[in-house]
Amino acid sequence: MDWIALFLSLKLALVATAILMIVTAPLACLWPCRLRSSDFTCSS
Amino acid sequence: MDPEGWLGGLWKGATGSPILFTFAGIVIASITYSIPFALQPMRAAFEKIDPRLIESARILGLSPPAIFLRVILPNSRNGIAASAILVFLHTLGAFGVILMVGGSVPGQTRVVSVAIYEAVETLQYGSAAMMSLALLPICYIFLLVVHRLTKRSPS
Repeated sequence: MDWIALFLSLKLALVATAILMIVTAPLACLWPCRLRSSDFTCSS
Repeated sequence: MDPEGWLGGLWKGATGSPILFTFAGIVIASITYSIPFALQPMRAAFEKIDPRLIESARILGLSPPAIFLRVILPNSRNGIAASAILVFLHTLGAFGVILMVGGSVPGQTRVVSVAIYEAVETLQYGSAAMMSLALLPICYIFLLVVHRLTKRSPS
């Protein structure tokens, strides 16, 4: 049983999840143009 | 990530060592290959938000960052949680990209999926089974935590 490998896996998953959530949330929010000027829908 | 490439070169210039076979390297690799799994559920959740909410917030004078923090994020909690589950579990079970970028350096890049692979390769089936079993409660605990966090959200 490799406890260090298990710990490293958890550390990797937590770090990657945290960074992705912080970085991609604003990007994903900007994608559908919701925060741009007065146009609140991408379809129009 | 090649030491001669732009990212590898930048990293080597800043730290003095190549990015390959380091923990930072596997973090960058994991992030890169998990981006679609993070982006799609979040984008779907953001698109489901009623545009009138955002319009009202804008009319009431909120800035775009404030709209994002106070209107969009609370209303898309479920999508963000789904995104976090996907990325976490995907990274926990990642094998190919980790082995390719990080190799198997004990204590640095030898994560549990690589350790299971090596245990099976060396016919240590008991050890491989124990490590596989150890992942189960971790995944369930994470799912439980996310479920508890999103339980209060009505959407």
